[in-house]
Order: sequence, then C-alpha cells, then structure tokens
Amino acid sequence: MRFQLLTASLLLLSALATSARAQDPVDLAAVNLEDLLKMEVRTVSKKEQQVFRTPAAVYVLTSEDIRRSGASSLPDLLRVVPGLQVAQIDGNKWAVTARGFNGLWANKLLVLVNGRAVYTPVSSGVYWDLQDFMLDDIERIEVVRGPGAAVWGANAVNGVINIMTRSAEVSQGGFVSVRTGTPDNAIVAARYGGTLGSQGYYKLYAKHTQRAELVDDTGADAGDDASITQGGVRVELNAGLSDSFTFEASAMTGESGERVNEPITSYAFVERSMIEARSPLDSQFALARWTRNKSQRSGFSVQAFWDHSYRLVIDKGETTQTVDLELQHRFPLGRRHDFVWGAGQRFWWDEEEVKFAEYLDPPSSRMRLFNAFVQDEVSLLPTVNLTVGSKFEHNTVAGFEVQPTARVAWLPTARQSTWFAVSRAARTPSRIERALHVDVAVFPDEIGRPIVMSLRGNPAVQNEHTTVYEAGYRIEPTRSLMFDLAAFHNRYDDLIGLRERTAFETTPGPPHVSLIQERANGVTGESEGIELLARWQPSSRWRLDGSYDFLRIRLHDFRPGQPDAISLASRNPTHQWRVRSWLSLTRGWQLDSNLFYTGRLEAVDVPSYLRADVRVGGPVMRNVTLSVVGQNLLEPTHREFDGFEGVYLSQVRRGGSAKVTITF
Amino acid sequence: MAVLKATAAIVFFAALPLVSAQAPPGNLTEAQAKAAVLYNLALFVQWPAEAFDNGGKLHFGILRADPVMRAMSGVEGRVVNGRTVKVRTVGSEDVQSWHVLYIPELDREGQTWLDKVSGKPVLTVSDDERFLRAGGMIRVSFVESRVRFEIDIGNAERAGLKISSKALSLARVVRDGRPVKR
Repeated sequence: MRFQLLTASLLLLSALATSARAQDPVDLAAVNLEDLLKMEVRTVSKKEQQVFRTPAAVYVLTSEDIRRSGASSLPDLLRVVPGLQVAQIDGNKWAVTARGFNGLWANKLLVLVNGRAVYTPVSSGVYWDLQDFMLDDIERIEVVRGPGAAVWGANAVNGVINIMTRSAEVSQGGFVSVRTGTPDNAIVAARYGGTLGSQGYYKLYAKHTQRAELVDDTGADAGDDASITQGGVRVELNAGLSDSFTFEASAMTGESGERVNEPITSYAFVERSMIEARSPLDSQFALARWTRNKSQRSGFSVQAFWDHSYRLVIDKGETTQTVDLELQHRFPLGRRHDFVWGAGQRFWWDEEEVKFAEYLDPPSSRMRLFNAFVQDEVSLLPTVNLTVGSKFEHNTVAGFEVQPTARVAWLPTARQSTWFAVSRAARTPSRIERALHVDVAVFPDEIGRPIVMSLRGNPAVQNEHTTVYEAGYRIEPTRSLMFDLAAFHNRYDDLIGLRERTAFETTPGPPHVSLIQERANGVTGESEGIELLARWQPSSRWRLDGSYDFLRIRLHDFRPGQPDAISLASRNPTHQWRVRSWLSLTRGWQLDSNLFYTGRLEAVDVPSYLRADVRVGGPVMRNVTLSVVGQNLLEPTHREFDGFEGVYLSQVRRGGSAKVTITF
Repeated sequence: MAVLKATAAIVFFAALPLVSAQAPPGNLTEAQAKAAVLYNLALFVQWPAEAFDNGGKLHFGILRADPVMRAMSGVEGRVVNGRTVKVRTVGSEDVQSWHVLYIPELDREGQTWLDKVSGKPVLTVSDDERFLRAGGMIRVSFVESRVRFEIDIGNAERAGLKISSKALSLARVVRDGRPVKR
C-alpha cells in the first residue's frame, strides 16, 4: 500500500516538473540534413491514425515495444497488452487469453502469424512453445480484443493476435543476437538478408533457444527445460508496380520436459502418478502469397500454407497437419464504401497416440472447414463510419455458422473518437471436447466390483455462441497525453461444460459401473470488463504507459440436467494493472521498466502478485548493442496459475540476462 | 521485500532529474521532418539552367493541403542558392513551373501528377513505398522515429537533375531499382 502511494506521488511530482517546460519551436531552415537524420521524429504512423479511428479495442506492439520490454518469449511480451491475461504454467508452457477463460488450451483467442492461423484443432489452443520467433524479427503485433472483424473466423471470440514478422526488404544485411542468463540459458539468433536481382529480396534466419528448468512448489528443479532449434527463409519478389509475391518456410526441432499426471497400468485398476516426461518437438510450415495492390483502397491477395507438427501432449504423441488456401479482395464502391470479401478452405488432419486409460476416440480425424466473409466500411459522414460484415463458416464438425458484426466509429473532434459494436461469435468444439476419453480413477465398491470414474468427450457437442456488446472512447487532450478506454459485455450461450451421468458398461471387461463426466453444451453466462490505457509523453526522453483491466465473469451452471461449469471456472483475475516507463538516457542508452500487477485467481487459489522487469540497453560500439535485463525482480519465485489438464505447475523464478546484438 | 520495492521505485524514477533538465535537442513532428527534407534537398540538387527561366524563384509544389504545407510555411520567402522559395499547393497550373513536387501518396491523383512531370526537371518526393519503382526520385520514410530517405538516381538523371554526392551519402541509393553500393 505504501509502495503504491510512493509511486503515485512520484508520478505527480514528475508531472508537475515536466509540464512546466514549454516546447521549443523548430526552425526548419536551421536544420541541416545530417542533423535531421539524427533527430527523433514523433511519428503518428498510418497505423496509429488507423487505430484512433478503428471501432474496436486495438493495441499495437511495435518493434520498439518488443525490444524495450526485455521479454525473451512471446507470452512474456504479451503481458503488456491491456485485456490479455498471461500466466506461465511451467518452463515451456503458458496460458494466454483475452477477456477470460484462461487455461493451457485457452480457446477463445485466435493467433495468426503473417496471416497463418497457429492454433491446434486438437485442443483449440496455441502451443506457445512452438511460437518461438526471433523477437527482434517481429515488425509488429496487432491485438484486437473482442471478436475480430468479420475477416477472421470461429475461435476469435474474445480476441485476435496478429503477429507480423519483418519483411526481407527491411531485413537486409546481417544480424546476430546472443542472450544468456536465467531463466533462458541461451538464445542465439542470426539473420541475413540480401537482394535477388532488382526486384527481389530474401532473408535467412536461424535460432537456438535453451530454456532452463523452473522450480516446483518445494523449490526443487521441475524438469521443464526446453531446447529448440529452428531455421527459415523468406523471399519476396516484386513484379511491376502492384504485384508482389512472398514465400516463407521454416522448420523447427527440439525437446521439452514437463511433469504430467499419468495413469500407470495395473490390471483393471487405474493408478495415477506424476512422471517427468520429455517431448520431442518437430514443426514445419511453408506459406506462399500473391498480393496485388492497385491503390490504398483496392487490391487482392491469394495465400496458401501448409504446416505439420509432431509433439507429445501430456505424454501422448500428437501429429497435426494443415493445408489452407484463402483469398481476399478489397475494393471501393463509390466514394463512401470500402468493401472486402474473402473465402478460404482449410483441411486438418490429426492423429493421437492411444495410451492406456487416455486416448481420443477416434484417434485420428480429418476436418474440412470452408469460410467466407464480407465486410463493408461505409463513410456515413466525414466523422462517422460504419462497418458491417459477417463471416460464414461451414465445417465438418459443427455445420454452418454465421457470425455477423456491426461497428460504428464517431470522431466528434480531431482528438476524440468513440465507437460501438455488436457482434456474434462462435467457437467450434475441439477434438478433445468431442473425443477425449480419460479414465481418471478406478475404485472398488462395497463388494469389490470396480467403479470407473471417467472424463469423456462427446461427439455431439455443437458450437458455443457469444453475443458481444462493446464500446470505446479515445481522447488526446494534449499532444503528449492519450487515453484509450474499451468496455464490453458478453453473453455466453451453449458453453461446453461437464455433465454427469452414470452408466453400466461391459466393455472393457469386467462389467462395471461408470461415473462419467461428459462434455455437453448448455452452460450460459455473462462477462463484463473495462480496459483502460493511458499514455503520457511529457518529453522526448520519457514515456509512461499505464493500463488497468477489470474483468468479471458469471456462469450459470446449477440447473438440473444442465452441464456444470466447474471445468470453466474462472481462472482470471478481476483486476490487473501495468505501468511501463521508457526513459532515454544519454548517447542512445535507454532505461525501461515494467511493473505488472495480477490479481488473485479465486477459483484456483493463486495469490495476487506484482512483477517488475527492468532493462538497460544501448549502443557500445558502432553496430553493437548491449542490454541487461532483470525479470521478476520482486520475488525469488511465485506462482502464476494452477496445474490442470494433467500438467503440473512450476513456479516462475527471478532471473537476469544480458543480450548483445551485432549488425553487419 | 520492502527494500526491493524501494529499489524498484528508485530505478523507475531515478532519472527524473535527467528528464526535467534542459530541453531535448529537437523533437520534430512527421510533417516538420518531411518539410525539412524537402527544403534541405533543394540545397543539394542542381537543376538544368532552363528550369529557372521564370525568374529567381524556387517553386515547391505540395499535392493537396497536407500538414507538410503548413510546416513549409516557415521557409517561404527564404533564399536557397540564390533563389527565393515559394511554396504552393498544386492546382491546375503548368507543371513546368514546379521545381520540387511532393506527392504524399501514390493514389490515382498522385500517379497522374507523377506522369505529368515525368521527364521534366522536377524533383519528385513522396512517402509511398512504391514511389521509386513508379518513377519517383526520392522517398521519405520513418524508421524507428528517425527520418530516412531513398533516392533513385536513374530517375533523377533522366529528368536532367543532378543530386550532389553529399545527399547521396546520407541516403539509401538505387539506380532504376538496383541498389548502388558505396
């Protein structure tokens, strides 16, 4: 409490001190060209202008955000985004979600990398350990909370994260970065870019990541280290003025450890125990895209990608393969309409290892997904624009689904904007929800006959539906101050919970009574929240960001005959806040600090915690930079989540690392 | 614990004195930076003699009333290489009169103007990333809060313009799309 007071009063003091200074006018004629190139320019990029006018809760992480956060993994980087909840589960796993329902396989968030969806159809979640990008290679990350514009599809219920890596064109020359310390023992990455003829560019990259073990509740090593090596290439060719062609491919291999809860065989009985499992990680993808841009308002693109991965999930082998083809066409209609439409077809194959007492039934499946969308952005008045659109999907699991959205943005003055949106979003059940069979325990009844407790998927489950009402307000009262507020109210229907039933089963023998917890649609609920971001830049040397999230979820589950929501129990904090400070020292050196507060997770008894990360970095020689980062500085260890879905929780540790980058 | 929190607070705010110290060396807006590039480039470009038949003026044409126009108002009337600077928004005048033409974006209107001045001794400048490929001479961009510019000397030379090596040394230079090694 006193710490908060101290922080607040220091902020106030600095506000008074810096607001007293006036801005010096700039005499253009006195600036010479060489000096001009060294000066800092306050850019309101097209992206930022777009964000201001966008009728959605958008946050953009720039490459400067990425570099100055000191983060060494994508989930850690995402902690700064208002509205996202990030919790580390073990040395190589994270639970990341937007607006609630967090878990190892949080399924209401869609993650795209350069337009390629990276969620797995098996669990509807994202394998964050496989999204091991060279963070220095990310151009920007756009996070939209809420059901993404109709251009993205099912599973984008509460958010879309679009990660864009740098093009080969801007990655020319060589770059090497080495980072060492704890908890990431070593991260070595190298990139080289060159030209192909007069209209082409290429880029090659390779990266090796070694993450150290964390600790368990007793402080012992948790066996959850990971090691990943990957390499890739990206080629861009420009043909004429409007056509461009991009090709990327990458392959990754590695291994990770985890502690999981496994059934141990024993005739007719199931005992469970914790074991330390090692999983190989193998993943590859290739993507090709052709884009034709006639002008700012019109163009089209065609994209195809393939990906394949093999790994163990809770110690069971899982192979997935995806092939996807999609196209998008954008064109103006008259002066007021900007129309986009698109269509795509995706094929998924998955195959899981069958293990005693835990398996998917059937162990392999194929899914075909067709999607199409339309969206019209109408300029009703110079200060009002309306976006109306819908996504149409058909998949082999849940049939046909329509997801419409309507959004209005109003800019009453040049410095204020407000927006409202109503949308309907759907989430397709995952393979786990349809097909997982787990015998949790077997115990004898009074006369020694076995009773089997099991958790079962249900092939008959259908899509979950959510109606989302959102509103937002942005204002820039002065050039150096900005506020961005987003609020939402969601109504959930047909959420998949667990329903109990008892059955007498004869297979597998001997005949036994089964207490089954089976997935079923039927849970309903509401959630509300606000996300507030404030950004203050009192001088060119100092920028301060603060954000606050409030989230409340209510699920209705105690109705006779309906499934209960225990498995959905909110694992999200009611309050979160963050403060980030960017300070430019002398000679290009920077001091950046991040403070994160995450509230208590009631349902799983995880206490609230405060996390502080600090980074100091700058140039040491021409083309060489050094940075030193301290993470989780406030406590030696802390818990962020709980273990479930069979994985045991590790504690996050305090760590420090140093990073050197060389450009040549 | 308390010590750590105190340390955190200090680390966060230790640099307050630094911040409250003297004014930063120069903090430009995007429009000011672009205007500065336009004005400065004029110092490093040589036009053919016939481009100045209409008197000792250096005409800057800005397509549409862009914020760059307002930023340029500070240099209106100044003298560069013996010629007075005049800044106007482009209308339907004879394109022969412009020496420097700034086209913010290569949309249909921008492309039309670029085609109109093609081959004529007019220095063309834009933000659009396709500009050099389209025949433009200078492209201004912003990379991590710093202004950068790219020059296509092939396009400039064909129009009769000479760009001094000083300016070339500060830019990324291509000749008809091919990067020029320095």
